[in-house]
Amino acid sequence: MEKLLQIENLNVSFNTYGGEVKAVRGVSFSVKKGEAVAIVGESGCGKSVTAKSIMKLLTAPPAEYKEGKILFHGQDLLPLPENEMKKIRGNKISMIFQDPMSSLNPTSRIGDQLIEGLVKHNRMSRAIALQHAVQLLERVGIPHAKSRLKHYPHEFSGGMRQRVMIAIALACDPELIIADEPTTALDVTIQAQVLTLMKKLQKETNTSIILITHDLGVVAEVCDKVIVMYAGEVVESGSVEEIFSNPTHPYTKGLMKSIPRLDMDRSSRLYSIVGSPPDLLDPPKGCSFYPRCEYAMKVCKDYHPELELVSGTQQSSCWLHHPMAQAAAAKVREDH
Amino acid sequence: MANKIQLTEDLFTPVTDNFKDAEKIARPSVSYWRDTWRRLKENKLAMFGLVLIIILAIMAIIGPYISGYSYFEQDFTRKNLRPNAEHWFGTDTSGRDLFTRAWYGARISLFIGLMAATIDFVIGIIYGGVSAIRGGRIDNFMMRLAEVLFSIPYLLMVILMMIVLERGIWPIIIAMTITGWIPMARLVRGQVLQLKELDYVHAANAMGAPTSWKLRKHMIPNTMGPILVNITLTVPTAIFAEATLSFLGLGIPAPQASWGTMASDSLSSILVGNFYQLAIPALLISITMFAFNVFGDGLRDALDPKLRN
Amino acid sequence: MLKFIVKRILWALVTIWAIISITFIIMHSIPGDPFAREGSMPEAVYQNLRSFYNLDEPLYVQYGLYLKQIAQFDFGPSLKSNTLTVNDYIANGFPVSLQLGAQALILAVCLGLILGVIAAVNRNKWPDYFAMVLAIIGISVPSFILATFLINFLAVEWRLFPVATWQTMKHTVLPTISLAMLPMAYIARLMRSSMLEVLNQDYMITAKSKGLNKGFILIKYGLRNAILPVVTVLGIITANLVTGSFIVEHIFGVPGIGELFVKGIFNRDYPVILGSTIFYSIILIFLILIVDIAYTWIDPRIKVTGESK
Ligand SMILES: Nc1ncnc2c1ncn2[C@@H]1O[C@H](COP(=O)(O)OP(=O)(O)O)[C@@H](O)[C@H]1O
Ligand SMILES: [Mg+2]
Repeated sequence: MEKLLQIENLNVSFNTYGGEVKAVRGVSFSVKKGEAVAIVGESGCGKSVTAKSIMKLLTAPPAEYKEGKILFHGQDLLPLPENEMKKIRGNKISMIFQDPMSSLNPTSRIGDQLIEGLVKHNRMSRAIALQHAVQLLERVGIPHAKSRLKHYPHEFSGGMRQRVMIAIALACDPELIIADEPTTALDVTIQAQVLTLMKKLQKETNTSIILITHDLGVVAEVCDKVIVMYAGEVVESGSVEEIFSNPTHPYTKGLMKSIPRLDMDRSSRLYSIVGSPPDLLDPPKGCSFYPRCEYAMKVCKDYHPELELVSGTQQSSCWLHHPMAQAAAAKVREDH
Repeated sequence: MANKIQLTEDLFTPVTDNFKDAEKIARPSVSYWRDTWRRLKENKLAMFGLVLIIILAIMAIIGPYISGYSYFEQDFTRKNLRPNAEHWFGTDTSGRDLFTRAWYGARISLFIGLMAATIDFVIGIIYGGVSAIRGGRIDNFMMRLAEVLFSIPYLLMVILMMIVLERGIWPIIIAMTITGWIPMARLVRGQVLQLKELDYVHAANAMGAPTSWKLRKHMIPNTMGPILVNITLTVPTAIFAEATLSFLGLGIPAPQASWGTMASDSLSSILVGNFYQLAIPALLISITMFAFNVFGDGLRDALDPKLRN
Repeated sequence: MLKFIVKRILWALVTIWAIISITFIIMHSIPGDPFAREGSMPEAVYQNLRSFYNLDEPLYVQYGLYLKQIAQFDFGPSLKSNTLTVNDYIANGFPVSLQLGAQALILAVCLGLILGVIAAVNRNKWPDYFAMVLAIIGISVPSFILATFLINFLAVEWRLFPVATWQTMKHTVLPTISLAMLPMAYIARLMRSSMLEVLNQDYMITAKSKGLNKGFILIKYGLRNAILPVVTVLGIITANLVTGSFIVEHIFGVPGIGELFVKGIFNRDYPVILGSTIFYSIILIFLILIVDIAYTWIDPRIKVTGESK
């Protein structure tokens, strides 16, 4: 399959008063046509920054794209001038944001917000674009689509607004949709509906999706491939089957353990990883996960582990895979 | 690259003390006020304003004694003198030393500003507090009353009051505070309502002890912040109003002087070329307004947690 | 929506009633009987005054009749003229004040919005500093000082504009600038902070992610949302213009209501003072009413609350 998007060694920083926040550090991954890729990780580990970098949505300054390539159809987007970028945004690549309450313009009608992209990119007339908008709203399951066009965002519920956002993202038939925690701000019952909708639409249109989430439960249902991010780095990646059946990085294992399960005792508290992610102003010299890792070794403190192929398509960056760490690795296997 | 380094078996023994580092990594938490002060210090304009305020305050205290002339002594042989070695700011149309008068005026103008701000603060705290704590109909009535009074433009109200009252410092302060407290009362009411909300939430959670801690740690500073900013910005408003009153002949009676009366007395002197007589009080009023405004703005920015970085 | 409007109108009427009552109280508490016949007062004026205030009736009847007369837009006689009533003065002065006020308001709003937007978009760069320095000056320099400086330099020294009076369009330039400066500064600062807040909103990134043009985003997403807080303070701004006009009209000899008011104060012509106060208050309250109603139309989120309440 053709590689639609390929990110190579992406480094993004924010220049703040306190110093340089290294939010994304050497991230590489690729998305094929029709593939659904998940990026998971706790909040603050650089998922949104990675996503926004793909469309160059970060305002610079304070953001700075320090290094790397973002190849879309083989063309590097990072050096592309703003004029060319505009033709890609909303047209070839579109984005759905976390909070549907705040990501729609409160003083503009839904219809207007839906057709802006169509008028700009497809050079449609307003009237034709509005007809198109009705179809879009119907596709995302909004009843009375035609009359809803005249309504303002505050007249919709949270779930309905996220459907509108999805409709906006779909408007120009993009090749890639980036959804940044699209269900995090919604009620649990609505979350499932929105995800089902996204899955269905993805099947229909064969669009590629990057789904960002900190909820691994969502990933298994929707995605083909998983990228696990921690402290601005990719710590593990692989197919959904690989990651779910055999997580190799201690951080991924921790994330897995913290998924709520139906067979769980109600009274038992959900597992959570101790501590919080490191300060990206001054990232640790060794493994970023070292201070929170149950299986930490001396080497982890000062030496940075590299991403290595562990099996099939699965990659992981952890000293436990080193030949000299067999004793420690055996103990890890015992634990499970 | 890591593979190029000599790795020994020893490095691959498990450690258990790594968790301690997790705690260390959290950024040092500084107290709210220290943090505010740090951000305020970074704001150069606000600090400049603060320095100006301090200089003005010092000069208001000692300034009138420096030149050796009194503020009311007239000397018709030395009138309309331009600034010189003897009279640093020159003399006015009655031969009074403008340096002494300028700082005496600073005293009066700053006093009026500070008193107005203090009284607004006290009345506002009481009125707003009672309104919020009582709630219901009383709250509704009190706020409606404030709204009616507030719909008369502030300066117009002050002028009307000055028509009824005698001329003098205290009447001016009273006229200024008669409706001046309303914004403060509204502010206090809003803050107290937030506090009540928090109380309620905590009671519902039956958290007990943390309530008072949280009050001290978060709510009181958050409440004091906007109030402090309001006080800072009331001072220039009052000085401004005093200047306008003087201009309308409703200010401080002679021979006392405020910057406002000095400026309005010297309006006619510019026609005969004595521009400095207006320039001095005008400059002082403007500098004071500037200082309080930029300091108040800086304080607001420093206190606003949204702008924290 | 209709219910909301009716409620607002009723509330405006209550406020106007309160203001009229306050003027009545003021008239009766002025020290030294304002109704006493001074030596210079012509007999006819004295009689007019007595009959307008119904001084022969008990106080509550006086109050009732006073309300009735004001409700019929009869503001009574002037103490200083036996031919012209307060109504005549207002009728003569209003068109002039309206023109000056409208010119100043338009200038202040347009320039303020532009400066605010430019400052926000270029945050912490020189256009921002330039706009904010201008705004700080506007806020720090009282209008009578600004006006005198303008006269001194632009009119007297450089002879670019006429010194005073109100004849051609050229005569209106300096008064308009003097009057517009403060509200302009106020709007610029408000617009800047409002725009900065809007620029940080999520929907701005949504707009960018759609590939829309920068100018389009700035207007349709930025301006449209950022302007809302500015609309809510238009009432205060207008009140500011009114009180500012007293001084500016007086300095430039503009024959408007402001000048009328100031002369009333100098002459202790109480019916003129109170009449123009009531007139201004009614206009202001009416304007605020319009702004409130217009706001429900500009901000789509308000409409629903208006209906449901
Ligand atoms: N505008 C910014 N200025 C400074 N730091 C930022 C900015 N935006 C994000 N960061 C930092 O980048 C890191 C990654 O953030 P983000 O990508 O939003 O995390 P998440 O994985 O939750 O989406 C965080 O540590 C955050 O503090
Ligand atoms: Mg995020």
